Amino acid sequence: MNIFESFRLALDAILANKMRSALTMLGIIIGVLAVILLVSVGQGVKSSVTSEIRGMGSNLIFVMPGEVDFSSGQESFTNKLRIEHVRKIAREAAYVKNVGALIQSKGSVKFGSKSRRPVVYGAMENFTSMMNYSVAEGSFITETHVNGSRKVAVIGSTVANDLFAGSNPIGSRLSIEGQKFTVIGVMESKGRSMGVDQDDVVYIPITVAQRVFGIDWVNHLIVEARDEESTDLAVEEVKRILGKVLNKRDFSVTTQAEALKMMERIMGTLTLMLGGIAGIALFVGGIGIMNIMLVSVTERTREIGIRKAIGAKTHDILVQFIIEATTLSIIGGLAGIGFGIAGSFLLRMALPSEITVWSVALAFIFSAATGIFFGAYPAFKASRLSPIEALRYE
Amino acid sequence: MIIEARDIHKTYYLEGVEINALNGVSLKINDGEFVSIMGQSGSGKSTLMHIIGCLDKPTSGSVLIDGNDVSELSENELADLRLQKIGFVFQTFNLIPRASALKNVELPLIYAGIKATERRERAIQALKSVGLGDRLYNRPSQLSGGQQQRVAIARALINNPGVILADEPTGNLDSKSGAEIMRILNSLHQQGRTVILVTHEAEIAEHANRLIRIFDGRIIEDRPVNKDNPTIEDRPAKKDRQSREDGPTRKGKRREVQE
Repeated sequence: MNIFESFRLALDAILANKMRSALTMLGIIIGVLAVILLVSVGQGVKSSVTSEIRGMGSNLIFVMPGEVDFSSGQESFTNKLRIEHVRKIAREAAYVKNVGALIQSKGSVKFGSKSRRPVVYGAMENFTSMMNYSVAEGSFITETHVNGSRKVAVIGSTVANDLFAGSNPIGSRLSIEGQKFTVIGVMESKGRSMGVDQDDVVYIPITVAQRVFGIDWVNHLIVEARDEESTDLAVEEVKRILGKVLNKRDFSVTTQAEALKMMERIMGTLTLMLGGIAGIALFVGGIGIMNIMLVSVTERTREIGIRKAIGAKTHDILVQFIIEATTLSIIGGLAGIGFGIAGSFLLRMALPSEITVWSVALAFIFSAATGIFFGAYPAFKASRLSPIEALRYE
Repeated sequence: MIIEARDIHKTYYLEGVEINALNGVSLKINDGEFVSIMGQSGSGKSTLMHIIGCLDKPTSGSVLIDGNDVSELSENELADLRLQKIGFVFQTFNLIPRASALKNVELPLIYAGIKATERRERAIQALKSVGLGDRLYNRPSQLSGGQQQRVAIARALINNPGVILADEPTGNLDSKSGAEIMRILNSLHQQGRTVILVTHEAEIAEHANRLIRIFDGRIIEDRPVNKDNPTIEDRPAKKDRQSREDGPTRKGKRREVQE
């Protein structure tokens, strides 16, 4: 008996029990849908994060306060990073093109009767060039602003739209943590990343930020190596220079490439985990198929007896039932892929989601394999029936 | 096709109880014969049919089909033999309920690997030959018992088998449909086919040319049927045994035949 004939036979059997077939397929549909959706979200988050990090340039080096040690908890250290370290590195390092520092904190921002709490960054004049950020209107903070502790602010587009509602914010005076600032620029919109609005921000000179928040430290130093090749040398230099003034445990240096690698590893694990959870759903769907195939074999014992009496061989029966299970799961798989792709597009409104060919292919192969795997036992059972006993079955 | 059984024994174990269904049956059926195997229920006649029909294997003894011993064949080799050489007709028709008459008749050809167009042609031809040319697409549930049995006969014939094995083919039919089925079986015999008929009804068995009577797993009688004078009452020597085996109800039926 050829395969085409087997598929027709399988379709006949599936259509004979429409409701039952549909419910069985639902298990597979949900499984495949879950695989595609979760993998596409995992993949989407991963690529949005990595492209963001990559967009900053691959020759960036970050100096964090304290040792990066997740097991001991980061709360206990005292931050010993200061603005003068920026100047020291700038003076002494040969492989460094640019050094800056950053402070970040939530702060209340008011204009007229409106207020919100964006992230307030204390930045230096080289921040935009190092991070590859650009200003849409006006200008960014200058060296004069930093050195002279001038109360100027550059705002993100969300803050601009919310507080100024269409009117030109440049030149207006808003208050940050109770102090008056003059708006000198609006940043170009960067959109959302992992559900966080990247435009709900305000930049002020780092020296002013220290006064506003009452601190003498900075959150981290940002170092730009001369080029990608000299990044490692720059790391060594930064470590050596800071090592002269700070204890080794008071700072840690990571490169953009390391951060990227770590992020990719975390995201890869996340995707795998999500895929695994979805895989469980698919597995449960497969058990549903096995269950229904066992029922089907029992129900059709007599039919199997008839077929055998007529001359069907063991493998004819085996193939018939395996193909029936596989057809059931492939139809379910295809429907699941359809729903998964549609769902992924819908999801894109809230989360970065990216359909990958491999996740669709994997889901399809998985669903077909589920049919073969879970159909095998019932089919084997069917094919082993003795023709006489099967014919006698009531 | 020549079927030969040599000293067939068949023992079942039903819930631990040993049942000797056949106790040394030997017979030879020649090409073109029309044979009835008759016996009451539990006599072993169905077991014998299953064994000579290659559906079942004997516990001991051997079955030779065209001189070849089939006792040692594998499941799949037996399936192939059934496919190519044996056509079954069952009491309960045994059609596949979801499939049309045409699909049911095509089934053996599917397993024989015949191409779709030829399959269809041959199945339509077979259904026409049993007078069901206008019922090709009806499902078994849409057909009368007699029609269903004719579909089953068409299916049995489709692979041009050497022998037709009919197990109580009229058992579930009214007398008119039963007569129709017997007429078809008769004509198959007249066309030169070997027909083996298993039944417990004497008047059905008398349609054959040779009657084999089974009792307690043994052949107790094997004789030609005299078509001109088919009543058993004319042979007083057999009368006692006949009534003992078949019980009182059979006598009444036999009288109907006489009339």
